[in-house]
Amino acid sequence: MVSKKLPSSYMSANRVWLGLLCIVVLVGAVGGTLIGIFIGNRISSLESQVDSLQDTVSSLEDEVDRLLDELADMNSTRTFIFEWLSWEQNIVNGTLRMELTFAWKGENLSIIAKINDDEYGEQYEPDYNATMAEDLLVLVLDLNNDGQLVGESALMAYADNYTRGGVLCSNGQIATPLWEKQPSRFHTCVFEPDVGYTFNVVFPLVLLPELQHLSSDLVYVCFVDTGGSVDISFHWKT
Amino acid sequence: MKMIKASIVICSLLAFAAISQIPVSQAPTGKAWAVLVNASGNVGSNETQMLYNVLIDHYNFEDIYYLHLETSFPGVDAKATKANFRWALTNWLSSHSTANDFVLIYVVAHGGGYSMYDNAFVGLSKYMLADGRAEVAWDNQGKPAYSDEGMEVLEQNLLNGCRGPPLDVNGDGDLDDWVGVDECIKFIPLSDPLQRYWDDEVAADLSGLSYKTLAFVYVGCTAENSTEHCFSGGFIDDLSAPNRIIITPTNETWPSWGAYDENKNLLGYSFWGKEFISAFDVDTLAFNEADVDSSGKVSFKEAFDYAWNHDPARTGEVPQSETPWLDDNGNGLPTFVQGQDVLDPTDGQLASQTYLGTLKSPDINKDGVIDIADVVSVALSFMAIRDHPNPEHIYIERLDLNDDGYIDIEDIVIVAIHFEERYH
Repeated sequence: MVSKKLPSSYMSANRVWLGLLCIVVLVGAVGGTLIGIFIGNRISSLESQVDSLQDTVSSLEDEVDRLLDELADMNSTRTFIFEWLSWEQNIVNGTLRMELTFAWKGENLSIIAKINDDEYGEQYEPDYNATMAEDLLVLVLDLNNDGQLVGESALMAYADNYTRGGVLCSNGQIATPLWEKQPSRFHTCVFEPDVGYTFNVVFPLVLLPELQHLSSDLVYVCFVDTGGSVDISFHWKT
Repeated sequence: MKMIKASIVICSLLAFAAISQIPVSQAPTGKAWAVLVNASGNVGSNETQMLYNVLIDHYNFEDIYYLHLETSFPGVDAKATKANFRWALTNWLSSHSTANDFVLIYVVAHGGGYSMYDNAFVGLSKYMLADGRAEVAWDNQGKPAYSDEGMEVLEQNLLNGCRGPPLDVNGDGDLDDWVGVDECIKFIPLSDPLQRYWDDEVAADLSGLSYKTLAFVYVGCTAENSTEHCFSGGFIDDLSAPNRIIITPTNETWPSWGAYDENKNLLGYSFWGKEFISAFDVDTLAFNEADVDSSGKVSFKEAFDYAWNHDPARTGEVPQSETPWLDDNGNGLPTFVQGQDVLDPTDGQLASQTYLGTLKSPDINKDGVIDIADVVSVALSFMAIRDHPNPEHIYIERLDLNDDGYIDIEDIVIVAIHFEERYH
């Protein structure tokens, strides 16, 4: 077989092409790697954005749930019934029953207290020169949300729709400024001998803006009668 | 048993006195007169009764004119009305008291003024004009203006009703004028503005009186149709004068406080008033504690200090505050100026020298029980004389129980009468 020697120029051109090919392959490899890295990073970034969006969606869902709960809470009505047996109180002969209903109605916090005291208590008030109701409902909310009721202002809701200032003390006393009773802006009361007292308390946000920030559901309720008193403290949302 | 022991002690000493030719006691100079007024209703109706009983039991007042809304209460002369109170000052008291006498005026009633206290439940808010009378004291445009109360509050901080809009007192379209607020004592019917006894009127009525020393104590508070207040300290700048002691349980802009007990029954007196009056009640440990200088007597300053230290609404035991005020140097302070309390640490001298009477506690050693130790303490100084010419003669003022200048049988009898009593 006869070998044929290729011309040297041909050999040089091939080397150039081969070199170029290598370069192209090298550049392609490097470029591909870089593009891969870039794409990887991009994907990673997009993934983290997706995660973040998922977190946002999740927190929005939580917020929606919370708002829905709150809305449901605001529109819900919670009723509590407390009873004191005959030897636990001096107000009625049998069992004293207090039914308390809490509800947000629009922008108003409504509290209805039904108490089966069948005797209307009254006494002479010399500064009014009139006979006025002696029985009353004392209501204290945790308006400053500190988890305590001592020091909070009390609504002293008399059965004749009058009120007087009050502050709950640690020893169970109610401190009161030495001022006279006055017509209440927050409650009305109906007495029916067969049923007892129905105190209807409404706190409108417009008159009591403190309620806007009310997060504590701690409440103190006391019913005062000529013969004695009963009281209870509890959480009205839980 | 007590009577037997006391009788033995008295008889022994009477016998001793008979052979000792002891001096005769002399009555103190000057008479004491009191006007008590209670128009507070049930929330404070018992307070003047406590004071009345203390005055009757332990002090030698020439007469007490007592006004109360409950005319069936013991000692009450007439119903507590504005007209009757003014009559008591301008007729009864002015016709009895002389320049050598002591006068006590103690008032428990609703009042009116300017509020810094906030309680929306009862329609009361900070900066509210609460049955007071607002007058422009300084006009920012230079128009003539005057209020005897001085510059107390800017119109922008004077709200018309609970959390209501600011009040343009002189109607000039701006809210930058300074305003003074007159205080008042309210009488029934509470809604009648004509039954408000304004501080200026009280000052004018007191100016016609003769006395050596006058003590005016006002426990005030009010509320009616969403305009309520206590603010008795606001009377000081109007009533202040030489030889006068003005005492209030709270300052010019804050309520004074009473209480429902644990069973939610109204106590019928103010926290402060109970302590202040107890300090004058010889039959209590409060008297012993109030008698800081161990003189056997409690001065107005000592009673004021005792109430300051024991009033739960002052000490913080009750989660509300009140700051009792006292003025006795005639300079009109403490008072409220430009939105702030202006106090006066120089008060107290006249109050320290003024007593409800001359009687001293028979509990000489202040151990809460009247016993033989107290009798012996007095007996050991028997026949001592205050103005004895011999400088070495020992006279102990504390043991002169009736303050007549002689430690004699009368002083021992005072101890014997209370023999075996225990104070609480």
